[in-house]
Amino acid sequence: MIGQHILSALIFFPAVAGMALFFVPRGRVRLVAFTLSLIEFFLSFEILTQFDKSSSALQLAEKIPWIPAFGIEYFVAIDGISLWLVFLTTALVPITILGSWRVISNNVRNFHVNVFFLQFAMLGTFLSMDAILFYVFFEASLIPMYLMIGIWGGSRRIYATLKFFIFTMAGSVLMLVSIIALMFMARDQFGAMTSNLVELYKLNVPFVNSFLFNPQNLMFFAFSIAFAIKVPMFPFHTWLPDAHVEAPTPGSVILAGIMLKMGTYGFLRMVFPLFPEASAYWTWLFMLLGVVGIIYGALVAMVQPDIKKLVAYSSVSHMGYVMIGLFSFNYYGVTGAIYQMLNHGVSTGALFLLVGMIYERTHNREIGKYGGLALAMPTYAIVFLIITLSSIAVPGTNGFVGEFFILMGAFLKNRFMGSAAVFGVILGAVYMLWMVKKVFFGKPGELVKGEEDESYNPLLPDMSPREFAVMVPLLILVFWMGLFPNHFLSWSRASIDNYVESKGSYTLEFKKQDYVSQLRGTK
Amino acid sequence: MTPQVSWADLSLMIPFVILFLFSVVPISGKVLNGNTELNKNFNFLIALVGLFLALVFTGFQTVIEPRLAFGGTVIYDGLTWVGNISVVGIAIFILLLAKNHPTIRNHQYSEHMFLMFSTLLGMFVMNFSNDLIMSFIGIELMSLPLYVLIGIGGGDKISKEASFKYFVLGSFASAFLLYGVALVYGAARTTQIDNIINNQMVVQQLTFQAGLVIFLIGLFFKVALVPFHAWLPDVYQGAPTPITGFMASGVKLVIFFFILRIVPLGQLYTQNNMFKLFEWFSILTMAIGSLAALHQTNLKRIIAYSSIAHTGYVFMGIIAAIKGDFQQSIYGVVAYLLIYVLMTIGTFAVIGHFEKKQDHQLNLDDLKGLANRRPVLAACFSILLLSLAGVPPMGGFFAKLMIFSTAVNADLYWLVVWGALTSVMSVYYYLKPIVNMYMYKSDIILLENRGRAQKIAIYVCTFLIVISGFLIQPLIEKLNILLFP
Repeated sequence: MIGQHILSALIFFPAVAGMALFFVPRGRVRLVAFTLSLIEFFLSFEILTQFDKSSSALQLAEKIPWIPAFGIEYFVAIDGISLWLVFLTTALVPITILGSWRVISNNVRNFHVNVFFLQFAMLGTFLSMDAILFYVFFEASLIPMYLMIGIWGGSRRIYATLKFFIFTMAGSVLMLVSIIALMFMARDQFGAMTSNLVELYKLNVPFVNSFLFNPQNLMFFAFSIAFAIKVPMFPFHTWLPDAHVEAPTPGSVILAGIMLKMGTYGFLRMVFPLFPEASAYWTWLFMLLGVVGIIYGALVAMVQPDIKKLVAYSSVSHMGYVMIGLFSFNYYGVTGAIYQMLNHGVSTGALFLLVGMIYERTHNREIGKYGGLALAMPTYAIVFLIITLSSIAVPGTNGFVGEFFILMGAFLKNRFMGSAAVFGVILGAVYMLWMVKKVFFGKPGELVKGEEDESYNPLLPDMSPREFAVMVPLLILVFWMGLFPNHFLSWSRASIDNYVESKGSYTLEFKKQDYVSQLRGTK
Repeated sequence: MTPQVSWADLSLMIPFVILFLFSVVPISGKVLNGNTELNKNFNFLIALVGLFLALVFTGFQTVIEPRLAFGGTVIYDGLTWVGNISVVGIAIFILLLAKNHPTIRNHQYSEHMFLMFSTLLGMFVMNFSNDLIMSFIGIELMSLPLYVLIGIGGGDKISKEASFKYFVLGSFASAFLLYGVALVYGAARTTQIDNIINNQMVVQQLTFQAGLVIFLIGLFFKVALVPFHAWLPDVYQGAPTPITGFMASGVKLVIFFFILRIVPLGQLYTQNNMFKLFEWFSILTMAIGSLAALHQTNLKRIIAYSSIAHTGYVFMGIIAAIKGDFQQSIYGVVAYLLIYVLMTIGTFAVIGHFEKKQDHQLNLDDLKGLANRRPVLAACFSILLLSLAGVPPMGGFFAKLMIFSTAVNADLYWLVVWGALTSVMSVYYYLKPIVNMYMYKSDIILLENRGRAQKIAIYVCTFLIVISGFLIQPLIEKLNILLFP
């Protein structure tokens, strides 16, 4: 049963799990939540057993009419592009729950309910192939994140959370208007309203080259701004540092690790296939903004006194890479971008977890107050260094593969942009290593020093076994993805090839034969 | 010409008779009981039974095809049926809201019942009317009891002020309505809507057009379209909260249904500049509704402004109905109104449940820390507010999807874009109560228990809002059968 409806099972399991948590005794909530999230993670392996990696089609599709009067369907499917993002989502949530064991002390039940609903919305976003369904999940994910920052966040949490919500929503309402316009365009061109993305890809959206306000351009920008805010791409990034600094550690991990990818995924899934001419026409703008984002994010990160803010700005820089990778429209660029999305999820998620660990101990994130931490917390320092190296893309770690592919793609597309982006790599190394040097080496800072000479603050014990257990899967992933990228990329290869060559010409494969006969006419 | 009245015509009046008879039971009982109230629960039960009977009888009188009655002054079609069912449903909710509410004074409960039922009868007349004079009677029958209902409760100045303000301005609007009807009659020699629509000669006359505009201004006043909205925040704030809920849901619903009925008349304006004016009304309504509430602290005032903004969205659907595809638009407007009614009643139920005993107000600060003490109600309130803001997956989103679709279908792109942008602005004030409930702690105890009735209303509304994504398709199918047989 689950075998045929694996995607729906995957999407709705977290929602059911969230509901179930209301009936769990108070003391057991964490344990039950962790177990449920692990079940969800193992459930996602069922996809791998059914997924055909040699096919570029949308697989395991499920399709039920929802509002036929508007042609809206419940339509979920997976291909090589969304495959690993789904895994990222199901894998990061148990890690987050384990990592937030100590941080979240009040409203524990509501917190975990929130996490599950967030996972529900994010998986829905990555798997839905219907524009309205996508929009519903995309927007619905705001509510749990808004509550998470607002309830469990820092001192300026309300400002940050309102800014986060309103920024993101402001971007996406125009996308809704465009989706509606596309649905009516489908009625005019195909005879029936539909919000099925596979059908919408076939639309011929009018594009007039020399005229700025043509339909395709307007819709392209409506969609792009919605996703650019989510990514966040320079100059729409201002909500991100606020949200990250005020969010609790698990909130930051999910926000940086998964939610930002909803923006880049949106570009891949919606913007390029729907508006191919406009995307090609405006490539220069987005490449430029991507490069500016890389350099700007790195430069601003360099001067941050707060570790978390530094990591937040490094996200702006890293997501800039993903953007130029996507907009280079060639195999290398897109592959690199997809890989970099995963890398960023792993390494930035890990960085936020690590920052959360020392914040838990000292309730201070100021870089200047640390120093010599490597002697007080040696294991922590090693782990931190490895993740840092992954974040600055040292060969052998996952970051290298992604950035290398992206730079190669960008260079093939536009030599100038490619060269400019390389500077970001250097700057990235500068701010991260500086931060590592100041926090871990040198003389013990005021927070690290103990009462007497040669001793360390007793509030700074080394990593506990639980904390280490949180980091182990991420450390394994850093090396696994860095040394054997093909283990991951081979699954996406067919889809990316097809994607780059023929944007948007998808075929659909339902798992069961009778499904196809039932839904004839949808290919 | 003497109107022919048949038995079939009279059978349409059964719900009227039921409602009227049940409305006089409590108040007669009071008179016979030596001017003291009967048992409050008994009165409540009588009212509930009356409403359910009306609901059942209306439900059974299904519409096979539209027909005229009482010499053409009354029409019975799908829109009437939907309207009647909705207003009876609304009245049941309002009855629950008013139960044990401090603003509904115990020694006047039977009067309250009687006035509420009279308002309901006025709404029925509005739904039935196929004649401008008939609609005027409906509006007056609806408004006069409301003037009293607003002032009857509480005992504080603010409700008297609200009542007086609504009365004075409402009379002014009534004068406009009558003047408009007079001009229309002068040009067309009839006030029957379908006769006017069929008379192409008349519609070209300036007298007729002026008359229609003046008539419409009277209607716009009642639904508080900007620039005829100034009374609304004060009146909504001053009125007892259940009555505010009644006005925000019932009155708006029936008047917009009536506007839908006279939309074919409005189609004359598509070539005129008048049409541009309507677009500006809608734009201004959305803008003022969304902007003016940003700095309000009184919750009832915030929702009052939000109701202005929602009027703007509905009016966008009306413009789409005038300009574009009538059938598509009518789904949008009706579905939006029904979902909006649920959201508003739910919101006012929560406000009524928590408002303070002393001054019958609820400020943003009073909500602080509510989520810890009343988690379920706080969650319901959040869902209702997010729905009003149009955040998916709540019902408000689907309502907005419908209304935006109808407007896009009529090529009203700028209106839609403006509507989308104002809805983002309004998100700020919808989120503020949620912020206060969940993200602040406070020692003020806000734990007045007002019984189960209001909670039932809140839960039902919230439940329907949450699942309304699945109700849209059945609703469209039902409307399809009813409105376009």
